Amino acid sequence: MKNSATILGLSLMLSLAAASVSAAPLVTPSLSIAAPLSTVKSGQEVRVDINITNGSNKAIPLAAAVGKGNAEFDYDVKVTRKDGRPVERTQYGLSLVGAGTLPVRASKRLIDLQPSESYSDYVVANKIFDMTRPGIYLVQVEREPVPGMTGMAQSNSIEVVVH
Amino acid sequence: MWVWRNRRRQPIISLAMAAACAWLFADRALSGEAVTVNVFPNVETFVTHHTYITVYDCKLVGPGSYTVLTKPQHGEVSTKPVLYTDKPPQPCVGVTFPFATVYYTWTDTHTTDRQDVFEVKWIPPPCSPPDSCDVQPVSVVVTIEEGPRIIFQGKDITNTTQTVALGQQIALTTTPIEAGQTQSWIGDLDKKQTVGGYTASGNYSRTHAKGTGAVQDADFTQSSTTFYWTTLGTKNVTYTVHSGGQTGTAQATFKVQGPTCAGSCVKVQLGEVDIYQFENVWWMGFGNIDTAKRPGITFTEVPDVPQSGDFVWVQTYSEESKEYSAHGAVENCTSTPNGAALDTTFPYAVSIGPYALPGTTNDSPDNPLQSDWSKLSVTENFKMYLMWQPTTYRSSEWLPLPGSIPVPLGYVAWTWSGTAVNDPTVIRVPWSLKSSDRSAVFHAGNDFPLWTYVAGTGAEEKCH
Repeated sequence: MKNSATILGLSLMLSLAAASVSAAPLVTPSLSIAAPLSTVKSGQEVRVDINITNGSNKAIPLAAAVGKGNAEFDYDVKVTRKDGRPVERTQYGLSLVGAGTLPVRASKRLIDLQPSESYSDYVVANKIFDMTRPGIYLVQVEREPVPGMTGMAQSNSIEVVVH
Repeated sequence: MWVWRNRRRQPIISLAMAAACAWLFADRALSGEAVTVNVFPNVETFVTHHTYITVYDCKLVGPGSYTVLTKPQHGEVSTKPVLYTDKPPQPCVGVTFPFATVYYTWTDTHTTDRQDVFEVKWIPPPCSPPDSCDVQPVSVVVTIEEGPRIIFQGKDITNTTQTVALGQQIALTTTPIEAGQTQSWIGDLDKKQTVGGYTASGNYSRTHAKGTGAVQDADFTQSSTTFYWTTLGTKNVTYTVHSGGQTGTAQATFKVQGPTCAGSCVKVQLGEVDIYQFENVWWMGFGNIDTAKRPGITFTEVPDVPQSGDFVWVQTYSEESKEYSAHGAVENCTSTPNGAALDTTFPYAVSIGPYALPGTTNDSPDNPLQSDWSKLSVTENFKMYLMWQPTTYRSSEWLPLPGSIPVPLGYVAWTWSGTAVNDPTVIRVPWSLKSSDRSAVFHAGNDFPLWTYVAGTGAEEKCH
């Protein structure tokens, strides 16, 4: 009798959990990036435009750095050589991941990304990574799951040629 | 001036109907009568207008048009259709109708004559019966007036009251203008009530960080002046001109309208200082919108708005202190070495009109915690300004009134501080919050946000 009660209680909890999930389904926005200049001179700004779109029918609350061009506070930016070799971070880039020496600051705003709405921002990739050496670099950005969102949002990968 | 047509399309000349409708003709330009108009040189002046409506159902028959039978000698007559809402009589008050109108401009600056005459005739739209709307020509006697006049938006507004919007460009000119004259503008024009302009720009990035916020003074010593009222209410303006040993004055009144606030214009909601991990990095911030969607501070505008406009949020900040300890050494840093800076971008946010209520914005400043630090203490001071700019509907959208500027309604002075300490022996959660504080106070007033440089999100800080 005791076991039956426990099982009944457990199944009730599972039902409630299932109900709460179906009432507020989690969604993952789609993420895409593009480089206005896919070929740059060494030292020239490597701008990467980021576009996040809510393809669900629910609003997604998103943190967005104030202003444009500071999206490194909202996205995890990954840069590697095309052959897979890692690329060193700048001092600023190290500070973003807690491995730097100087403090940086950010102001962030909470915005609601409505269904089918997009939000655009950009990062300057060579502000975060040392891309002074000529070659082909691969850039990709990710966004960690946050409340209201499930799964890692991952962008396409783009090539940037530095000469 | 009105031509009235009754429900049965009977001519308006019946005695009973004429008596009943006499008030409809109570304009100064009765058909067949002389009209006297006082004008000023080179100022287009309204003379008369006419349209044809049926008052029982407020339907337009047609505005007709004017023809000039006798041209004036010293000026020009213009006839054009104009839409009026306030001219129609009861029961059609508030209904917009096109009117045929007559304007006169005295252009002859060499004559010594003080009077001009001309004659116009209203040509009605098709009537039934055809002669039922005939009116007699109108003789117009024009007299030129002496003394200075104040012109606003192409109209002589001397001795009148104009309704304008807070932040609307007030560009006043005067007439006549004579060589060697001196002049001044006085009245409700001091710096507590007006500015000559406001320029604001700024966007921070590591490679491009420029922009300024500055107020320009108005020049009230010339024959024309441009300024903006920054407070509401009734404003008097007096123009005084000295020329050839004579002094003349002209006066105009403005009623400045804009948002009003019962108490505070901004409702503030404060969050908490927090330490959290996001994308494998530890952060100390005011609020936590990365993982918990809890802003540090939320601002909501709450004024009453009598007309359309945008609310513009602008934030400046000055860092009181930032101190971190690493390897036994203590460093003090600042990202605002020259006082207040624009926080990253102008504007911070905009609530687009019309009647954009309630608009809201928020901020969650934070700092990544470096793994080799043992402590970080931060104090940051901000001012979030709420500004308002009048808008107008054109090209299918609400856009800022041409030439207008945003005007401050007040600002929220807010601050947050926190001290985080690192204990690397604690594996999962090495950082903890040792102390924290935050506060916010709204200050009403028209102090403009000013800055000479831009800093903010992404700024590295200079330590010593």
